[in-house]
Amino acid sequence: MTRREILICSGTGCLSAGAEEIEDKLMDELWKHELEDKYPVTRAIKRTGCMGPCNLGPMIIIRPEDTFYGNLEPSDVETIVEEHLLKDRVVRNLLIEDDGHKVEEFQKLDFIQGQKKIVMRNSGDIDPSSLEDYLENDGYMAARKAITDMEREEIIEEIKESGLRGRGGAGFPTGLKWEFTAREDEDEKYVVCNGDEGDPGAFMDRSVLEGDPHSIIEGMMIAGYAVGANKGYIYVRAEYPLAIRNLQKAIRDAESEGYLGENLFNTQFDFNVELRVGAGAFVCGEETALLSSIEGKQGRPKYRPPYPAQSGLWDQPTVINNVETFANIPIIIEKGSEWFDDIGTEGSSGTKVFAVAGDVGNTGLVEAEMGTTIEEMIDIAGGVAGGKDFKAVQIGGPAGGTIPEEHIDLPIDYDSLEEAGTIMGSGGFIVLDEDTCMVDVAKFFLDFTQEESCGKCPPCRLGTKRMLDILDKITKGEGESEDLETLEELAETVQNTSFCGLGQASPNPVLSTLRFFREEYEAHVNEKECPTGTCKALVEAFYIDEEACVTCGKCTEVCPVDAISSGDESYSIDPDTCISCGECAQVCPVEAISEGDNE
Amino acid sequence: MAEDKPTVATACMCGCSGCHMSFLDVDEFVKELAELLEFQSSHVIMDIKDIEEVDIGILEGTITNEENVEVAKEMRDNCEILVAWGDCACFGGIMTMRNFEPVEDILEECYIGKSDDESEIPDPEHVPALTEKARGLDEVIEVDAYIPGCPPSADIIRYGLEKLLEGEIPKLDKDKLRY
Amino acid sequence: MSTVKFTVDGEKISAEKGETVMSACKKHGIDIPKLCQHDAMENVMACRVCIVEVNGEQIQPACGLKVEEDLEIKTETDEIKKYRRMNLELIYRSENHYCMFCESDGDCELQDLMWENGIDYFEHPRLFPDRPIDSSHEHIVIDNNRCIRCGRCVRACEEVVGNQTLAFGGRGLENEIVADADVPLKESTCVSCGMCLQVCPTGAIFNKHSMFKGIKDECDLTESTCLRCSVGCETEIYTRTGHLVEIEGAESEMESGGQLCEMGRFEPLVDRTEKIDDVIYKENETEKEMSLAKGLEKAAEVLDEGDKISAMASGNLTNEVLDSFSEAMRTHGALFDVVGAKRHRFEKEVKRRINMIEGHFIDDITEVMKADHILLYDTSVRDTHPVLASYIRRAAMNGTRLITIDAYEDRFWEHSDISISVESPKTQLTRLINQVVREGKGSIEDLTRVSSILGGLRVHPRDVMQVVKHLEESTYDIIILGSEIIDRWSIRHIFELAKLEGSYLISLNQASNQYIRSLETEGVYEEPDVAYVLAGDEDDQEDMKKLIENADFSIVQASKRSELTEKADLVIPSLTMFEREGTSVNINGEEKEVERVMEPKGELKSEREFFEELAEKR
Repeated sequence: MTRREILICSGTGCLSAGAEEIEDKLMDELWKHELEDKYPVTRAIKRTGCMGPCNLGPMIIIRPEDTFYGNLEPSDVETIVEEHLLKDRVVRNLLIEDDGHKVEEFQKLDFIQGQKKIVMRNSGDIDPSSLEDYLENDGYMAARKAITDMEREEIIEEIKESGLRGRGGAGFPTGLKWEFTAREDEDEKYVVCNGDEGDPGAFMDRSVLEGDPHSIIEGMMIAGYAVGANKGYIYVRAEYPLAIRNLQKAIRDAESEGYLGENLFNTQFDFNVELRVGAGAFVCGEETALLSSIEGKQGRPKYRPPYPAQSGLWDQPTVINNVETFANIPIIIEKGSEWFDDIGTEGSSGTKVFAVAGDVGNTGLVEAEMGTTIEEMIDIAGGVAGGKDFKAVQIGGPAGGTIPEEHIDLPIDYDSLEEAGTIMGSGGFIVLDEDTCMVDVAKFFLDFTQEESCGKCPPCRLGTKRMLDILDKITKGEGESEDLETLEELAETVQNTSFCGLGQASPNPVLSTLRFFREEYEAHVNEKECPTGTCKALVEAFYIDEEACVTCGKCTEVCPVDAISSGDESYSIDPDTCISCGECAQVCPVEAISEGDNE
Repeated sequence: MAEDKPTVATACMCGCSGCHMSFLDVDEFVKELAELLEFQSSHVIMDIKDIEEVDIGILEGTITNEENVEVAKEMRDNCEILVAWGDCACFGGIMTMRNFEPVEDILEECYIGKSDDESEIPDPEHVPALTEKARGLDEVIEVDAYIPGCPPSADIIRYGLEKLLEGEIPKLDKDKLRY
Repeated sequence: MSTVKFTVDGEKISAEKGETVMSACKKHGIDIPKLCQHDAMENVMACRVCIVEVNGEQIQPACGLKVEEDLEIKTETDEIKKYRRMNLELIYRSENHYCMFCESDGDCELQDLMWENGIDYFEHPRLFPDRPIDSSHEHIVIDNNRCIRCGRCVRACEEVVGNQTLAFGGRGLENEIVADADVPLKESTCVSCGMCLQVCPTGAIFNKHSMFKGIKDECDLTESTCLRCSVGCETEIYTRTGHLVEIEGAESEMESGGQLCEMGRFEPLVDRTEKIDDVIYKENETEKEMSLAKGLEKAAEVLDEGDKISAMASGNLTNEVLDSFSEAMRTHGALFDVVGAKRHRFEKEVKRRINMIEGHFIDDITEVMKADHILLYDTSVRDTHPVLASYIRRAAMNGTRLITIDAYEDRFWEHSDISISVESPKTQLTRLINQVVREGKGSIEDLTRVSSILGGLRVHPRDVMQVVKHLEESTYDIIILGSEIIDRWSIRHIFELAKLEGSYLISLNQASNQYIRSLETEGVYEEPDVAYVLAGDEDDQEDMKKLIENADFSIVQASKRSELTEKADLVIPSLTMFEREGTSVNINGEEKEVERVMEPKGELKSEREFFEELAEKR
């Protein structure tokens, strides 16, 4: 029998899908078959960070074969143990299917093959709570190299040459940012890691923090050494308990093993990291608001300049970078700027992690080389779900915009996205199929930013509210002819006069949908019609064909508003009560229910 | 009726007639006005209630019931230039305070809650029903000129009328605009 | 300071480097509209009304943008006007701005801007928010429904008053002004200074006693000096048809940021005590009213008959009144004293004995904000000199080490670095500090030597050592002596300490008019035949009360009824503080004008003339 290792994905997605149950069951089975010597818990069973294809959770990988089992039920575990572990036979019916054929190895999954893992190199592969595991995978080698072998200027030069740009959204060159702080002549400087990921559906930072916390500490340490800072803060939102737990352990372990503290790697360099937990205000992701929050003040943005690089935390020069940016640092130091610069496009080196969601086959985290086209991304994610047509993709979260079908071959990099009217943002990638109402999409994102406005400036606090009210009116069929113009005027004011990036970017989803899908708005306003049938108030009531009805009564059971009454010959729907949800039509066995007027 | 004199009609929606009172405060200018304008109807100076085709229509007050809606639309249909007098006509004024509560609650509070046992909510058959919200004129009809104020002073009203007589749509600048 | 040149609407302007565009424009008479900016506070760029176009591309707030060479600023482009109008309308329509029944109608910066921008109709509907109104406080109402979130009140409370009571709570549309951890203002740490309502640009925070009494434009304005304590804040007093409407701090006096305290801003508005208009003579348990002339004759007669006469005046009167009163009393052979003068006499004596020069006394109390250490002995200054207290709090917030010593509750406990509570007699503590400074200079032996005595005082020796250590480290330390200390030994020890350590001193007494320092006073007979008390507006002066209780016959001259007038045999009207005019000397030694705010209503028109006549009746 082969000596094996079983990796259980313990990212938040899989945990909520029941990974712990699978683990318990696995332990039971191993015990039952007296395999505890062969599979010692501490060595052979590994809880890893997020493996990526979240819709396949809970999932395990059995090594060395790299066999991947997904969508597991506790009852499957028995089979896996008896067949795979004891008899060395792959359980074929538990394998995942890609394009009609079963895939045995994790690396052979379409979803994985199309990706290039740099940031997520360790996530899903190592045990995030184990420093030992990280060290075995060359952990802290880059920091050792930087601190013992390299000059500060050399490091900054290396980062500059690599072409790494901030992964938090705006894409500011990281090396340049470091250089500004390094130039400041102050004794106290700080390195801050922005882990206040808050875009709806975004969880790349979360996965890195959960799955590979030491890489962030290492990245920050290198930054600290390069700019002359001895203190780092990681700001994580309280909604990420697993990330907080893993980070706390990582900091504690690094401290006790001498990877944090005084005289690191036997040099004069000291570096410490402290964890700060945010209370979950979206605006705290804005760097000046985040710094205020670390200082213990209310998280409200401040005027720039001065930029944090010159005057940040407690008015001292501060490097503030996003989680993903820091995760790139060790590997750049390790493999060199040239290697990194070769990946991606000319203006955007490296990779970007996207949280792929929406109407695709496989949702989850996808790390792809910069310059990958939208179409390729969708392919990696298993194409549009249910064989539907692709309509658009929303990139960049609530501050981003929507890109329609005609730009499906657009390469994803900072500059191309900006030209197309959106931003990289933190890497939200929501695929929308033909059934999606774009007014509804705009409303969804605006609802989010409106709710998350800190309230400091009127355009953001009130302008977004007013815009949302208009969108709400439009989706309810109460839109007036001048509404679209008012919407644009408001959007322009909010964009141009809001205090911080949150407000300035909040009209983007509205503006980009207006740009590419204006006729859909016009249909809502002028014809009082929702072309995709999403806006319930604009859809006509359903009716029952009396001839066809077999009076089975299934429709009455599912109707959420009790609009259907029974009769001897046929059931009937009260059009005034009906909300056109369509539940009845779906359950009707004889297809007697359809939308529209009976006449 | 002289052919070349512009004709004017004024009416009051839900309001206190304060703007009309302020209009009467223009004193002897009324005499001058009578030379320059032909009043077709105006409830403070004559007893004609029908609105006929006029050049200038002036409205005071908030739109709070079905009758107001009807009168406002009738005025709009019958005039060339429509002028809103006072805060109520321009922005809804004090009457919009009722918009904090649903109209049913307000009727209940006024006619049942604060009254003796016999009172009841008036029948819309006899008294025009309240609209759901109290609104300024421009939420119902198009308005050409705004003369806000509570009330606009006689001087401002006079200024507005003079501008109209000069053939201009009055627009109050920062020295004259008050509300 | 280097200067830079830049262009505003085509006009070349020079400004100091580091200055904001708004402040540079203001100096050149270009007013950029604004709502949140206030000269006394930090700029937060929240309201987005002062937006200007920069170099033809960017849009920036003028209150945040720093001037730079060749900057091209436009304040009134079509785009800027459009955005400004939109933001103003959103502010106006989203909160409950119904000018016609707002207290601030006519005194509102938002309303002014609406008019200035010619906004005569609205494109956006009202939101009708329904937020709670906090009217729990005795003087101040906070109506969050009218709040535009400019944050002036929050900044004033923190930066000007050093109090940090008001803050923003909630976010987005729910963002509103809260007191402390969202408690009713009445139950909060509010010191009732009213700075918040003075800076509020709309009707969101207003004065309960001034509301609906008239808009400022229609009031008479008198600029005067507050005589409630020796800080002597400059006031702007609004009256209408002879009635008091509102009192505000003069915002031109930027060091105080236009501050006043509860005593100066609210108390005169609340005062409902009955005014005294006529002379009242009490004989055989009955009260008899008489004319002012008769009263003067009666007073002269009583003074003539008396052998031991004591005269005492309030310390809150003007120089002129104090002079003429003391002159009249001396001609009648009385011993003369002023409230607060006793403390001053002790100080003079101590200074002579320890050979102390005047240089130790600070001639500008705002200096406390520059000190690196403050030793505050007697924390009653929070109640007796609230504006000075705000300077102390601001200093402490900005890193000045604050050491407080008090026998009662430490009224600066949130701010003090070392708080020492002593039991009476306080002298022992000061002596100890003194002794350690003089002999020991912080050695361990000193500690053990003094600790036995400290035990009896319930003071930890470590604290005393720390105080000494701090004073020794300090390069600029100020010792503030509260007005409740009238013990000679305490004064002596503190003065001695200041001399030893080279500290500066602020010495407070009960009088608001420091003219008492140049007046001849000598104390009074404790049991006189006749006591003549000139109380002015004062009503609860212990020394005055004691004096008339021990006198055979007592004359009280006061503006309103009080315990004093109840006990007096002869009551003569005096002017109120708003009817009086003259000069007064503040704690810095500056002579300030006290203006007549209201015409005297009674028979008495001039106190000086009255006393001159009284002197002649000898």
